[in-house]
Amino acid sequence: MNLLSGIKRKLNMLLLMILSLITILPIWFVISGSFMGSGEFSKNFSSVLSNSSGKVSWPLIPHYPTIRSYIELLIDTPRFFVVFWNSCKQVFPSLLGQLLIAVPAAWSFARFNFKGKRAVLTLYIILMIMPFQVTMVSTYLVLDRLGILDSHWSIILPATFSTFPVFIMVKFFKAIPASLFEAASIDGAGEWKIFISIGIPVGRGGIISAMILGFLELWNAIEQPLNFIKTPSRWPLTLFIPGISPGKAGISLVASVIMLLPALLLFLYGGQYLEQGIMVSGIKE
Amino acid sequence: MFQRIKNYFSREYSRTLTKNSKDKRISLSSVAGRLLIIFFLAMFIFTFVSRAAASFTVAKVSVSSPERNRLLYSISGIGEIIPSNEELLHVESGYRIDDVYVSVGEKVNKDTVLFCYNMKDLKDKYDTIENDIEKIKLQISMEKLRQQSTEGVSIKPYLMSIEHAEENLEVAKKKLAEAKRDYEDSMHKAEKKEDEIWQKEHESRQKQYNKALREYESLVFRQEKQLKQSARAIDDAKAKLLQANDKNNEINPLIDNYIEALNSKDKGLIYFAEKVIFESFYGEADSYEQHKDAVFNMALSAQQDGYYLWYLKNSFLRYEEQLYTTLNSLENAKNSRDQSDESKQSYEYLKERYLQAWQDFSLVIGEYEKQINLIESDLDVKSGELKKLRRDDKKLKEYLEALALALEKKADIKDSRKKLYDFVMGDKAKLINEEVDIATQALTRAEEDYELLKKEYDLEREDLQLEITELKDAVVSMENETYDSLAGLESKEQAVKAAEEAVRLAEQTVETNKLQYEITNNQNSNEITTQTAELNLQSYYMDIHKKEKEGEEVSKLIESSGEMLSPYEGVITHIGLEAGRSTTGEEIIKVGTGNYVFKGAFTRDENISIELGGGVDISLAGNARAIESEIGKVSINTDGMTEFISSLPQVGDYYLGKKAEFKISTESEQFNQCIPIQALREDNYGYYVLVIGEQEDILGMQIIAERRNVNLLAKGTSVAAVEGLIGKSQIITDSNKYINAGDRVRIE
Repeated sequence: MNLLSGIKRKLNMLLLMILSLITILPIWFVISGSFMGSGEFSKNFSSVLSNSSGKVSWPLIPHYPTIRSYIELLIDTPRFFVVFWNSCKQVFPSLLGQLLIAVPAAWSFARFNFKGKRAVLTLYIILMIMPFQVTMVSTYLVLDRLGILDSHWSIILPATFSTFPVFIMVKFFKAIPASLFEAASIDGAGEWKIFISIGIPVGRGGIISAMILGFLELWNAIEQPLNFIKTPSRWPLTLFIPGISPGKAGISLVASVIMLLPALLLFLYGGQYLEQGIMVSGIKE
Repeated sequence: MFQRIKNYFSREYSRTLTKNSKDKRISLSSVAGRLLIIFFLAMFIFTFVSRAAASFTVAKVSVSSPERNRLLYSISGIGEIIPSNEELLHVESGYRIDDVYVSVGEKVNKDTVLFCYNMKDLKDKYDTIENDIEKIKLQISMEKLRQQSTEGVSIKPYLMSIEHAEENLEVAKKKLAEAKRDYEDSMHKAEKKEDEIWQKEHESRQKQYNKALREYESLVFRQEKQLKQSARAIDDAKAKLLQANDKNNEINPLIDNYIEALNSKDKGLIYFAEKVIFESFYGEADSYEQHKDAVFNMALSAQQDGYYLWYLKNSFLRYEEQLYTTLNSLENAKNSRDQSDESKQSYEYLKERYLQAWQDFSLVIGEYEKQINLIESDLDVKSGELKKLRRDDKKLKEYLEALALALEKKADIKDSRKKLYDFVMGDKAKLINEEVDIATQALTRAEEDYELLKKEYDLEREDLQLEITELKDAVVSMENETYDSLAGLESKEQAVKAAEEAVRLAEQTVETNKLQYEITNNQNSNEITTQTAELNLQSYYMDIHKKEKEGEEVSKLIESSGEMLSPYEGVITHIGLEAGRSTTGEEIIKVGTGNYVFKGAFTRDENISIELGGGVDISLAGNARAIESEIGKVSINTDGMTEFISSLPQVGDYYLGKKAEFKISTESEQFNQCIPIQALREDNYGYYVLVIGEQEDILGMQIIAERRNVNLLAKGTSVAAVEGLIGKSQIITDSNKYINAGDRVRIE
């Protein structure tokens, strides 16, 4: 019995390892490719680059690893930093806005009962599940009317009023036991004090989770800047990377690695909260 | 052992996991958070680093705007030091040069021997000039003679002259053709192999020599023929003069005969002597008879009854014939040598008959004269006509009687004789005298023509003999292999020139003679003839003056042993002579005199103009400081280059022929759009400039270099004039690295 369970466990491990490899290999290819020299890259991907028939080979480890592409991108390509900081300009104000708008909103939905609460929450959920392509035109018209098209605000403002973080944080705030609030009230704490001193610290996981998910969404956003920003100097990284010519594929891979890094580090930083958030929301990004 | 170690690690791992699982998670999050901060810090730093790196990679450019300006041109080149003044020396043509004593750059004093002509050539030339002068003098003499005998001159000498001149022209043309052929042959031969050339040259020379001999014989024949014709012309002239003199002397014997008759006192003889004089007065016997008939008829027509006069006339004629017959018989008898009695008796008889005949005749003729005189004195109407007819008869009779009276008185008959002679001759005396003068002149001219012709022929013969001698010498020289082909070629060239000159002179002579012939033939153009003769004489005098001058120059050279002396003190700057070669007169010898100047030359662009007085910097090798001078003289040399002269300080470290570098700065007209020359670029599509432009990209508004095509109007040393730029374009004039259109740049 023990032998059978042992074998079964090993098979599961093997299966999981295979599945993990399928997930990890693309990331590994990107990372290893970023250390590949242009000559080796051309040799391995000649059929793709020249749009001809043939096989593509992607070694796990480059034969002649080099950081030339890193130097070229980080030292010789100031344009990359423009788009990098453009992404930052669009992401972090959006997250800040979400903190200011979504946290109180979620607290209100979780803590208070008011007329039409259910209807509004339903509307939030409906808006949340709507794909971007559906709301794109109406959003464009609104942004145009507001006169903020082709600016960072055209990304920041819609993201600030996103429904998704509200949805996540409502769940977290609702999970806080009501007795905790009552005790605070007995101790003489007002609503603001309860929100600041109990709601936010206790619901920190939800807030962080919402922020991490929001970061991942905004950091990887491509449709919004593509539609709302025309000026290249305001483009984020997501639009810059596809624009790199095939001849500069090494730079493209380095840019991909750099784009990947903050998301990865943020995931590692708030992984536990993210798990909670994912569990709460039941949404997998 | 292995199992124990494995268990130990397994146990420790499990303990660590269970104990620090929470701490470990916190630690990973904390590290990730730190890494995240580090990541953004790194990105922040790299942002600055990349920007800083970009400042090194983006070209820094200098810009300027097009301006209204003038172009500055800088012309530089190499020139040399030359004398400020150059004197060109004349070189006589047609002489060989024996030696050249100086070379370029050599200093010479006045009277320094420069080179030496060949003395033989000089002497030959002098002889030729002397001959030419003699010929011209002869032509002058001929012209003078022609001028003197313009009136009444026969055209025959002119025809002869024309014929002679044409023959000379033919001969000259033949000689010219031969000389040309000879020269061309020589030229042709120079291109062939030496042996072949020598053989053919020798044959040619031999042929020429033989031909010259034949020509000489032919010339002698023609000359003799011409001389015979000329001598014949002299004989004709002499005959005409004799004839004229005969006409002049035909009356004197008649007068002498009359005087002799007077001295004999024979009245019959005196009558016939007078009659002969009368006949001579009226031209001839028939004329006198016609005159007497006219007198008789006029007298007869004036009378109502003319029978008596008619009777007297017939008797007069009959007795006159009788008198003449008896006189002849008596003269024959007188001249007879028969001294017999019978002859004496016959003579006496004849004398008696003669005297009787004279008495009869004298009666009749006395009566006849008396009747005529009566009619003449009686008639009023026709006496005038009769008197006119008989006036000369009476005058002649008076002169005859005057002579008879003078003879009778034994006085001097010279005056009366002359008067008689003059009267009898009348106008004829003047005509005869003129005829004698013309005949005398014609004879003199014919004799002079003969002499001139003879002298000219002698000269021609001498020339031809000289030519024959030269040809013979050339043949002999060739056989001795000492013949100088080059000298031969040059001498042949000279021969061609001489032959051409001879043809020209011969043509001129033919034309002159034809003109004179035409003028003379027209008989009414003495003035034109005179003017033509004057013009010819002037031409001859000019020729002779020229020849004499040439002769003097050659004579001076001969006196100085053919040495050409420098008339100036200076430096030889050019000498185009070579010993052994013949001169053509185009050789250049220059003597530089005065101070030194600088001469530079350069190829001038259309837009560049240099001015007199403009500045020029002259840099001499070894001198750090350039000499600042001015452009003194500008000209175009034979190579089409612009040449200028600049003065130099009197004292300096330079010498004749020293090379030096020059630099001239000048400026053009004003152009509206001038840009620095380094801003102008050129490729397959033409001229263009890069201007500052702006472009929106990821990095924002970027400054880039944009291309602007322009038309180049002119290009100076540092500035170019263009058109096609719009407004105040900022033109990129310089950059710290190579840039192309579209490159990012930043303005310094």
